[in-house]
Formats: sequence, C-alpha cells, structure tokens
Amino acid sequence: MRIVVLALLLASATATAEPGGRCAGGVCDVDTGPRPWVLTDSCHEDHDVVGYHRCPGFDWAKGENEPDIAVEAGLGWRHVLAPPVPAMMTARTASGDTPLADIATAELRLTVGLRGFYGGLELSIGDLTRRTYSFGALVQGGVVGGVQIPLGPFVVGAELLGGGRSERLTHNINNNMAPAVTAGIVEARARAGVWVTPWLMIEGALGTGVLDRRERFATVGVAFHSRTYAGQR
Amino acid sequence: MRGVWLAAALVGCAYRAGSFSAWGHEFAGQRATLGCLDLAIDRRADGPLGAVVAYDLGNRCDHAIRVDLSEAAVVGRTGSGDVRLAPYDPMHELRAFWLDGRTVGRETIEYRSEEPIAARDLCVDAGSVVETGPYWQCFSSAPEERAR
Repeated sequence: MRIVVLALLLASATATAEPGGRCAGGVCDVDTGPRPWVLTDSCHEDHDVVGYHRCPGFDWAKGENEPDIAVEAGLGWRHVLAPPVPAMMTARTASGDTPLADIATAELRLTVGLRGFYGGLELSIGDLTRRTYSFGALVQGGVVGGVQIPLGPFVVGAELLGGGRSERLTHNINNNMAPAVTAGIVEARARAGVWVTPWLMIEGALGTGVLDRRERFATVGVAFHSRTYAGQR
Repeated sequence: MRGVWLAAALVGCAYRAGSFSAWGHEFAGQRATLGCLDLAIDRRADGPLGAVVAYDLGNRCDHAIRVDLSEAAVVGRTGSGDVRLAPYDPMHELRAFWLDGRTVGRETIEYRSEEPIAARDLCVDAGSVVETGPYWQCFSSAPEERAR
C-alpha cells in the first residue's frame, strides 16, 4: 500500500502541467498557448485566475435556489410517558404506576431549508434514571418539517415532528435489562430564535404531544446555518 | 476556506458595510459602492494573452444579492479606439451567482481580445456586475509597467 501511495505522490510531483492545462490525480490536460507565467509542477492550487485554477473556485457564490443547511444542538426537557416498571425490577422512586416522567434530554438536528420551509432529522437522548428507576434511557428520533418567518433579528415558526421513541429501564445496568418499550410519536411545536451572528442563532421551542396531549417538550439550543440569516432576508 | 467560514461564524465576523476589508484582507484597487455591493477592482500584472482584473466583493446588506461577473464590461483603450475584451473562461464557470448577506467574495479574471492589441489602458464598468447602471473605472497600465 505504501508503495502505491508513494508511486501516486511521485506521479503527481513529476506530472508537469502544460501552461494553462488542468490536472487531476497527476494527469494533466494540455491546453494551447504559451503561458509561462503559470508555473506548476503539481496539481495543487497555484493560481486564482478563472480558467487557470485547479481547485474549484467561486466558493463564495450561491445558487439562486441553494438551500440553507442548519445543524442544531441543544438541551431539552421532556414530560413524557415513562415505560411501565418491569416486574423483575424495583423502582427506586417511582410513585405507584405514574406513567409520566420529567427528563432532561440532549437534542441534535439537521435541517435543510428553502424559502421559509424546512425539513430534516432530529435525535433526542434522555436520561430516565433520576426520578424513575436505577438506570433508564430514552432515545427518540424522527422527521421534522416546518415553516419559519423572519421578524427583524428574530425568527418564529411552527413545526411538526413524526417519529419513534424507545425507552429502556434496568435496575442494574449490567443485568436485568428490560426490553425496550417503543412507541410512535407526533409532536407539534412552536419555535423562536434570535440571530447572534449572520450564521448563528440561539433558539428555543415549546411543544406538545399530538397523540398524548399530556406530553410536553421544551428546548433551548444553538443553530449553525450555512447561509447567512438562513437565506431568508 | 471552509475553516475560515466556520471561524467567522463562531466569532461573528460578518462583512461590515463600507469597510472594504474582511478577516484581515484589505480589498485592493479602486472602490465603488453599488447598491448593496462594495466592490473593489484591481488590475493585476498582465498575462501574455490578456489583462488580469481582480474583483473583491462585499455584501453590505443582510440579504443575498445577485452578482454576475460574466456581464462585466471591460474595454482596452488603444490608439485607434476602444476594444471590447472578453473574459477567459474555458470551463464556463462565469455566470450569475448570489452573494449572501454580510459575506465577501473574490475572483480574478483574465480578459482577452480577438486580435492582439496593445492596450495600455483598461476600463471596467463596475455597474455591469450588479446592473446598477454604468460606473466605469479605468486603469492606466498594468502594475508591472507602472513599476518600470
């Protein structure tokens, strides 16, 4: 393998680009016309003039319908249906068979937006341990879609999430692992955010379960956008 | 370059209107403000086949603006009159693009004429880049000639 890599590097270094030619993987096309001011002996970027550069240019340029890609991370609170206590376990602090639990979650999502509409994927991971059982975890994910409206430095919007949730409890993390309890979820949410830089937004959301209205949801987080102001201004 | 964008996002280094600089890079050449666009045009050392012009772009506004470097009108001034020069663009990269709000861009283009000419002076219509009306900027000679 090392020999192959060495050979490729050698070929790249020795492939002398004809002036104005283009290179890829050590192989250079020959263009016509003498251009002694373009001095290259490899396929590294050596020129910033259109037509001569080898790396793709126009990294600043956006297409008219280029979507905004947003990566968001945050912390959340969820008031969710907890799984029933497994018969083989003893709940540490469970009060009777109360099906609801308050848990903290870590939230991560990736969305793609255009012209005020967006869609994407969302993942939440929560800890069911503290108020329910010795050990417990919640993982939920789904597809999210919504609309957002810019209001000066603020953005408000509404969205819907559809997906699934898995909860698992155990009294001993090494043994007695209960089977995962899975359920489908639909959540309706209102979102709001404020731009702190053209690319960064601090945002929050409030939501409720659609299938079970007793479920509640709140998050705060930060979102990094590929287009300034999500390309909405 | 992506690292620069990421760093800029984290520290909030958006382009500041009228600054003609971004992230330590000072826009070079003659400056013009055309609507939302801060534009600096610089004539660089000529290549053997044409004149080389560098464009520094800065978006003053929060919204994206349309920038079309392929429409930039460039003429060479000879003793017998003006000659329209065409951008050298073998890969057909030049077309209308959008410059996001509060961001900057930079491109350098070589301009050639159908027949070799001895054009010492070069004029660029900055207004043709963003369709705001004529705004000619002229350069007396290539930098290497001025240095002689």
